[in-house]
Amino acid sequence: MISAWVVLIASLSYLALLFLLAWLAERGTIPLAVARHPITYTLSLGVYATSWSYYGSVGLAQDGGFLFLTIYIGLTVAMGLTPVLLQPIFRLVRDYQLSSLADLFAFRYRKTSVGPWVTAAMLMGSIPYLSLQIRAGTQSVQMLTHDIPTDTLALAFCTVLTVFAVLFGARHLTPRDQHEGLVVAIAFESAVKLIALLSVGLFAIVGVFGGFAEFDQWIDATPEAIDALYDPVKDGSWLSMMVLSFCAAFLLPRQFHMMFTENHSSRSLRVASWAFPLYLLLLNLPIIPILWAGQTVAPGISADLYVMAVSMVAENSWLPLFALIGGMSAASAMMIVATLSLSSMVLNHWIAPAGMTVPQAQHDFYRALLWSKRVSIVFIILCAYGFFKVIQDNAGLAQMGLISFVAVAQLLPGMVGLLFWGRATSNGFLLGLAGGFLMWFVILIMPLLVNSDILDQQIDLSAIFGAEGSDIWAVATFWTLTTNAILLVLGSYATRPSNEEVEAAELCVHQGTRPLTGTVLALSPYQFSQQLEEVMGPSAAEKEVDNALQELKLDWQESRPAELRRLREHIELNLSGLLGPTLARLIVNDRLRLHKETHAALSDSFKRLEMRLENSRNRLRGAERELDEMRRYHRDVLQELPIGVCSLDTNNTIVIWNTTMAQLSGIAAGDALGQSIEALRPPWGKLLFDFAKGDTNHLLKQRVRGDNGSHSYNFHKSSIQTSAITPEARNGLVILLEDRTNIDLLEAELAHSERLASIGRFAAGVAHEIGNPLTGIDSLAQNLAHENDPDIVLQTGDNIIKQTRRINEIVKSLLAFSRREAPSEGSRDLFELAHCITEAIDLIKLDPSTHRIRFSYDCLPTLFVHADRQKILQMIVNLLSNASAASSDNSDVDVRAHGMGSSCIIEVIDQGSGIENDVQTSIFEPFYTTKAVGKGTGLGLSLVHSIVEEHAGRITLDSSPGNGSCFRITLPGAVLINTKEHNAT
Amino acid sequence: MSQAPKSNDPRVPVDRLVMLVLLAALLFASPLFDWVLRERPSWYAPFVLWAILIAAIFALSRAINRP
Repeated sequence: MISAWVVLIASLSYLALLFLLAWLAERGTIPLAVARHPITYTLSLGVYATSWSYYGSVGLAQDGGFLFLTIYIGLTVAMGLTPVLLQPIFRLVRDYQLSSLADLFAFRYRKTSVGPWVTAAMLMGSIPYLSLQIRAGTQSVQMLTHDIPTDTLALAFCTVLTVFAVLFGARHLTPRDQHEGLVVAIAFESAVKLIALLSVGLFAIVGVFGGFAEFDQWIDATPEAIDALYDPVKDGSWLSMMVLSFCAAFLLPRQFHMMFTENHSSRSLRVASWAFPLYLLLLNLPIIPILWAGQTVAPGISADLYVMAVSMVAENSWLPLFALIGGMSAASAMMIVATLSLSSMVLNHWIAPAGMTVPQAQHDFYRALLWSKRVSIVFIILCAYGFFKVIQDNAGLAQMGLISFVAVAQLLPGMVGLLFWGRATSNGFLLGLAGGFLMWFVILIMPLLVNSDILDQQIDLSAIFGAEGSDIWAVATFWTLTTNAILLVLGSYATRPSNEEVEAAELCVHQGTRPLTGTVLALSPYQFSQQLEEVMGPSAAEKEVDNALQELKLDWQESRPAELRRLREHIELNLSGLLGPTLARLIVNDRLRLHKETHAALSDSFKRLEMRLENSRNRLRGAERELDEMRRYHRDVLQELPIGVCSLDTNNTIVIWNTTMAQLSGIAAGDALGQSIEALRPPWGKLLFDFAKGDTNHLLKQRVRGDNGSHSYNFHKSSIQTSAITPEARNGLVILLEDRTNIDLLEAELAHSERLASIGRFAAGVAHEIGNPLTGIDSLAQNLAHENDPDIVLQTGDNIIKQTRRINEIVKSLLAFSRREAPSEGSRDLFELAHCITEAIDLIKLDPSTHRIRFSYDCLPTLFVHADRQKILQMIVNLLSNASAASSDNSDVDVRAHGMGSSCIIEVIDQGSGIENDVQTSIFEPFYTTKAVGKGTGLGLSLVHSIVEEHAGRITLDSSPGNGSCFRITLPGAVLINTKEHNAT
Repeated sequence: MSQAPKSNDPRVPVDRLVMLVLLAALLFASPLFDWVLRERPSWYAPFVLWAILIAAIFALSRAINRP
């Protein structure tokens, strides 16, 4: 016998150690890498093994032999189905910030009554289990010390656990109800109970039987012991027990909480799929030796107490105390996690919706939530204590555990509908749940109440279903689940799912994306905060908006409609973690209203679709996978295209902004996507908006001074008109941006080379033109030496000056023609076209081969053009050069120019051989020439075409073989000006 | 038109793999149960069966999540 004080101090010290561990984990002293390690997570799932497993498994093995293992084999099967069963649930819980079973069902079935009913069902199912822990805890302490009455022990046990449940899970509010400290403490408890049970099992073999060899001898000598283990399996209801434990693996509130709510990664779940069954296997290995040892040393007592009885055979007192600590670990872990999980449901689905009717603005929102949770914890433990008082010794530990298992199994049909059957409706679910629980109450609870003299024997209806003896679990499982499933199917087909249910079914069954309809009415995060104030109070509203902004990496100045839509959704997710999905949706729908008529930003829809496809890549197969590969290929092509691509939806919001566009503009894709085009930073916002709104589809050689200096760009656009079956929101505009800075440089270089080549052709003419005046100057200078008449000397001087000027003009025009011009200059000014034409004719006449041609022109001296004079000069020179090459001797080449509105038309007409029709389409292509090899570069007409395009003009050719050619150029920017006035200005 | 690269991922889809394992379990369950429930089996035989089940889950998990 151990003193009550020793037990009390040991128990409190152990609980204090647990709290210390939890505190250290929350402070970060125990690193996150340890707290979130898959092994820690796996051990924390050991909360499944409660007092029932610790003490009750021996009792169940006594009554049902190896049937006790079905409680774990069913769970092992459930863990084996992790990829298709548990991972989808985890994804839903993580993606939509759901913190309990009630949250999950409320999220899927989208009816305000679903959450409260699931909460009620879970409370009904868990209360017997909680009272089981109280009973096991008090029984084990009483075995060690008979000093304390049962009621006092039970009350003390409940009080201590209430305090610890509050300390562990309701000290402060955490988003999504995640507590690293709790996980570490529960994992530690799992390790303690495993070591304790293994120690007792080892003692049973070594201490009671005398060693492993003696243990084997005892088995050989007692074959009926083996038969007693196997016989119940041959006749018993192992399948129904396995079904129950399969459901319990993920539908018990505490399992759901540790498995999904406290989980941070799918990797942990993957590891736990095999590691957790392995833990349970180790935990159950000592059960059979303890059972046989208990039957040997304490045959008169309940097998539920064999763990303590066998440990007390030890001569020292540490083993029974350690066994007690192990049992306390099992009970306390279960009670703390279960009450936290249930309190979260009670808070989210009972208290908070009721509190919504009370104006919250004056209250501290978080404080009210925290205290509500604490009150819920006290309420739940009081209920468990009440059930313990009512039932007392009228049921074994295993019986009470199985009552809970049958209760939670009632969520299985609903869960199947949630994950696999999109047609399931909330009405069907609620009907099935009600029917299943009614059968549960009749078959399992009524007999208990009759045994406790609370109900009259005559009211007990359980006999109708043949629910007697060891088959009771098979009968209860069959009738409750069958009734539940049939009602779910009938109820679902009898009712029509709401639009919200259809949307939620798509998210749960097909893991689709939530369609975004409408844009937020609020224009800034400040307005979000103001609108939430009325429900949550100013500080809580501001904190929630600020948290969401930080998590999305946005700031308070955010105004992009797509980002505000994301902010709204993120606030709903965060509130869902605090208040459950139903209430979060109600608050957000009520306070942060949407413009239902407007379409969501296409960029946001694309982003979501992209994220969803990225996440679901491993699940795609066949044609879906190939389509996804094709989609990725096209996306990458678009992204890596060496030309800037930007697409806009009908609201002028940017949907696509590829890598080249980001490089050219200096605006990152993250900053541009979802942004209105005109809100882009200068100069791109105005430039792209004006171009998008303008009439012209092409804008060529636009100089833009950006972050990386001055560049020349071509802009192209095209409207996107999708087919009629596609939503209107998919229409829009695509803009291409082409950096032609390098091309401009090359073109300038080419033009310069072409001019130099022309000068080469003019060389003989230049020599002749300069030679004549030089000869004249030479003669005049020689005459001067012999002339004394001052008048003649002056006249001769004038003549020399005239000849010099003539030379100077030729040299100047050649220099001007050959000048290298930087492409960035784009120097356009108003000049007299007639003067430019005469200059061109003068230049072309320098070429000796043109002396056989008569050049003439017809142009009003009042016709002025706003253009690049040097380029227009080169254009006319090139055309005249071509015309003279094609003309026969003594033929005419005319240049005519006249104004037409704001344009001028320049025609270069020859009487040469003309151009064949099939050649006409190619003559403007670079390096295309009809001349003999070595006679032409093929660049002349190409440069003409380029110059005309650069001036937004048009060039046409009117020619036929034998009838000469006429190149007609239309240039904008013409104006008629009086020459005198122009000279005056 | 340029040809998109085809997927070379040899992995079997998860749901098919799980179905394959369940089929194998169905085929092998009967002989395993017969072995466990044979005439005078050892007391730890069910634990061996359980360990085999865990090993199968471990192998399945590795097969699904191999890089």
